[in-house]
Amino acid sequence: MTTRVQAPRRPSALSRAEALVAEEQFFERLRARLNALQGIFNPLEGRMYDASARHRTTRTLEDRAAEVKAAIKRLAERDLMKVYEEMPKGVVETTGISHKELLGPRSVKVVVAGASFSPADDLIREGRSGRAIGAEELARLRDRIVTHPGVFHYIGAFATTSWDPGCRAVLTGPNYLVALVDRVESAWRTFYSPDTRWRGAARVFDITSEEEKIEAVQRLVRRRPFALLMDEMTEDYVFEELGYPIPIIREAFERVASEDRFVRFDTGTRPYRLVRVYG
Amino acid sequence: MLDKIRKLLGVKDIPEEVTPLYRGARSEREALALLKEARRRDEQRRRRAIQDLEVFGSMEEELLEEGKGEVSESRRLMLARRIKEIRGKVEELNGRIENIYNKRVAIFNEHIGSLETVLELTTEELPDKKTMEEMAIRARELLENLEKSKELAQGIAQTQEPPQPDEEEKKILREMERRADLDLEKAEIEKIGADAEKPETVEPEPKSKERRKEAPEPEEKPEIEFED
Repeated sequence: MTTRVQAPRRPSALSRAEALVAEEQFFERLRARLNALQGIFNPLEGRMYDASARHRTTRTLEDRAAEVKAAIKRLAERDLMKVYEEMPKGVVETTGISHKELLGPRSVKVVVAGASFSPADDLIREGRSGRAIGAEELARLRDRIVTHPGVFHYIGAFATTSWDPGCRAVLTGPNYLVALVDRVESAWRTFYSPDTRWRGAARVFDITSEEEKIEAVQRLVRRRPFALLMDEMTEDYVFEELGYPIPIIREAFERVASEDRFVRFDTGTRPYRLVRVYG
Repeated sequence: MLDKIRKLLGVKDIPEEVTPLYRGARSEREALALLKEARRRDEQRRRRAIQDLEVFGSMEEELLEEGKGEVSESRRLMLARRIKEIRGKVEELNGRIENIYNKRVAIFNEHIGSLETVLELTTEELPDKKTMEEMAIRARELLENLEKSKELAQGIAQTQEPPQPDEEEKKILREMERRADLDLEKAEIEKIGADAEKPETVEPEPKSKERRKEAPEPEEKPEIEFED
C-alpha cells in the first residue's frame, strides 16, 4: 500500500514567444482537423450536417487583439510594439457550418470554435507566466461565442499555460460543449466533458496523431522517474495526466519496456503499469 | 571445466556467483569472456540503481521542504509517510547495491584478473629447438656485426688524431728545424760578440740596476756554512 503523494508540480512558466508559438500551433492543427471534417452532428436537431469546405465559413473575433493592445498600453512601460508582436493574441476563430433547406434561406446550424487563452497580464508585466486559466475567463469568452440559442456550438478552448480544475464545471450547456486543450510535458492534452452529444465532433479537438501520443507517453515516463520507481506509473496515472486512450498508453508502455532493459511492463495486476527491474 | 579452473587458479572453492559461468564455459577463454560480460551487466545495474537513488534523494528533499512549510497536520502526516516509503526503498536499493552488485563485481574482478594472468602464462610457449638454433645464429651474427662496428668506430677515432706527415712533409719539417737551429746559433754568436764589447760602453740606468741586482750573487752565502 502506498501513500500517493506527489510533490507539487508547478506548471512550467512560458515566455511570451513560447505562448505565441503554442497558440499558432494550436490553430494550425485545428484548421487541419476542420479541413478533414466531412460531417458534424447537431444535438439540438439530432441531425448530421455536411461539413465539407463549401458549407463552412470561418471568421475571427478581432476584438481580442484589441484587448491585448489595451492591456499592453495599461501595463507595459516601454517597447510596446515589441511586446505586442511577442504576445499571443488570444485568437478566437469560429467556423459556421451552414445548411440550406429546400425552402428557406441558408443558415448556420453548427459552430465549431477554437479559442486561445493566455495569462496576458503576467506575460506583459513579467514576460513569463505559468498561471492557470480560470473558469471565469473561460465562461466569459464562451458566452461571447455562444450567441444563437438555435445553433449548437463545439468549442475547443486552448490554454497556452494550463487550465484551472474549476474550469471543468463550465464545459456543458444546452447548446454548447467545451473541450479543454493544453500542453503537458510538451504533449497536447484534451479534456472532454463527459457528454453523449459529442459524437464524432470530439475528434476535431483531438489535435495529435496516434504516433505523437505514444511518443508523448514515452516522454512522460522518462520525465517522471519517481512515479516509475514507486510503482505508480500506471495506465490510469498516464490517462489522468494526458487524457489519451488506454490502448495507446499500453502501446507506449510496451515500447518503453522493449527499449529499456530496466523497465518491465507489468500486466499481472490492474491497472497495468511499468515497473523498475534491475535484471 | 570447474575442476580445471580450480586447478588453474589453485583454489579449493569457487564462489557460487561465478560457478554457473564456469560451468557454462567450454574453455578458459570462454569463461573469461562470460565473466567480463557478467561484470559489465552488474556494473550497468549498479549504475542504474545509483541513478535511482539520486531520484529518491531529490524527491525526499522536495517532500521534506514541502512538509516544513505545511500547516495542515494531515498533509504533514501524509508527507511523512511518503518519505518513510522513500527511505524504505532507498534502504532496499542500498542493500541491493552493497550485497549484490558490489560483492559480485568484486568477485568478477578477482576472477577475471586471475584468469587473465593464468591464461597469459599458459599461452606463452617456449620456442622449439629449431627456433632456438636460429636465434643462436642470429645472436652470433649480431655479435659479429657488433665487433665490426666497434672496429669501424675505432678507425673513425684514429682519423680524428692529428694528421701524420708524409716523407716530403717530414723533410720540410726537418729543414724548418735546421733553420731554427741556425738562427739560434747566429743569435748566440751575436751575443758573445756583444759581451766582449761591454766595458767600453756606458750602460743605461736600468741596466745598472740589473747589475746591482746581479751584484749580490757572489756575496750569496753558501748552502753550507762552516764555523770559524
